[in-house]
Amino acid sequence: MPLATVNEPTVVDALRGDRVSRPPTDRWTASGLRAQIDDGLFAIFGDDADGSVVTISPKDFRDHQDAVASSELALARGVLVSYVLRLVVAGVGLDDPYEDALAAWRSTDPSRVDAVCATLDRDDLARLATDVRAHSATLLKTLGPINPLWRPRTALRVVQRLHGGRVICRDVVDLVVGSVGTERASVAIVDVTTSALGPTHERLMRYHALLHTLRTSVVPLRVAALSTATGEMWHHDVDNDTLQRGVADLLEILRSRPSQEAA
Amino acid sequence: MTTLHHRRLTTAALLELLNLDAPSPLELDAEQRDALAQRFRSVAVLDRRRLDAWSVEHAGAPQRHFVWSAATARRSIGHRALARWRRDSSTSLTQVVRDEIDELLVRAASGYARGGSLAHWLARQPRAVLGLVTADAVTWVSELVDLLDPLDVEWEVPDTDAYYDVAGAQTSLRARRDIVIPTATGRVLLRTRGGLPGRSAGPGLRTDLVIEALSHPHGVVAERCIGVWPDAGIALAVDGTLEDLRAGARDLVRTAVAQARHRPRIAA
Repeated sequence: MPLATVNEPTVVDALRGDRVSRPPTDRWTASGLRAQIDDGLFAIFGDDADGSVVTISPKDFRDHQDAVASSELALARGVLVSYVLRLVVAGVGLDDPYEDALAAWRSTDPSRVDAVCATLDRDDLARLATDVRAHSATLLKTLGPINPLWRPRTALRVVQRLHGGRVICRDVVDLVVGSVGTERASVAIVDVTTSALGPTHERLMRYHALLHTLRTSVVPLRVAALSTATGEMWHHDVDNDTLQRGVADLLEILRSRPSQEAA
Repeated sequence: MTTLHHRRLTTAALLELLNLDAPSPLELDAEQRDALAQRFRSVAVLDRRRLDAWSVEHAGAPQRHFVWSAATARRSIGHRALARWRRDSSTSLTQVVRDEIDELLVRAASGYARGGSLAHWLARQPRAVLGLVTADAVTWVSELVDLLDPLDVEWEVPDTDAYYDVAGAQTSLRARRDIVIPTATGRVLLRTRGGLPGRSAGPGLRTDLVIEALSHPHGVVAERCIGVWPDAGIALAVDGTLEDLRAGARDLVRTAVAQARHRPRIAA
């Protein structure tokens, strides 16, 4: 899969690219992918429709080492930076990214915020505030202005029921721009992470593209991952190879953990 | 036999649902309204009860205490912003959502917002929370416009959901409707929901269908009620047939009975 690091001035410029060279919107691939996934799932689960539901989410694509390294502080940082992204896309001028993101998070999940604040000691909280401000500075610098006419959607939830409900795939995409209704492909998906980019993010990019295709029956134009730790961005056009590898990743995860109680 | 159409949420599938043969036109007459009211009156009620598709889908289980948040405010704001955008689509969706929030804030500042209302809640929020509300509402309305724009059919944003007060039964019914699509012979209702459709999604749609018909001044039944679940990419629809209406009305009465059973337990 050809991955390109960003050469353009901003993330948005890289994602939108040259309008003339965009391919026609692909509305035909999704049904084939569904059939292919169903075949793969049948090979794993058979026709056992009564078994427990297996739920797949982005955290299943993390390497074991990444998962172990995810401390409470790192998780809180990730959540807060995602709130910063949402506020920036909504056009809110931020006085203090940390305080603003914390206020936004508290308004949606006060008990979780209280739990995090109780878990972290004073030094960790100070480190969290500094981290969030630094990551936000990188985000603001690399993201670039998002034209409201591109219909930016943030924290977009996706949930797909596969194999008669035996498998449920969940996803939350940080940022989606573009429309599925245009004749030329225009949808771009951005995953913002506070860690350095690695193989995990490559798999996640494919997962985002695959689930978006299954949800809308339209293949997105591009998918990207942006690290606010390094300012690095990977982006590539979504093609058949991307989606095929996304299917293979999904089936591989399911093969490795065929049974799990329903959440 | 009741109906339930199941499709992927694509432009072509939505057009197909809109263009399916319309069932024979139906109107609810005064006798049918009275019969339904009689059923509700026979179910014990301690205080005013409210029924909607959600309560039917959850078998009358008590709802959690409602609090305003970005998630609960997005539909109210998004819906009004969509109506605004429909009148002037040259403005961006982000801007119409901002305008809508500004209007609510002005209403609160001028003292026209009652306590507990959305405007009242918004007026007490810091700028960051208003930004989050904006982001959520923009996402909600963008998903809907993305769906409706390519349809190339006329669509209207109703001013409110459909409400019907059952005479003498202390019962209010509410049907959720986000979009009304006029057709040659009537109208089709469309409403959105988050997450995955559950097993009782069909009864929920029938509930909306029957309440919307009751709220119509002449009792005219919509041709079809389409429910869309953008998160899941699924569309379900029920037709406005007599069987579907009967099933919807039956489910409402059953839910009232189930609610009456829940209430004493809470009091105890």
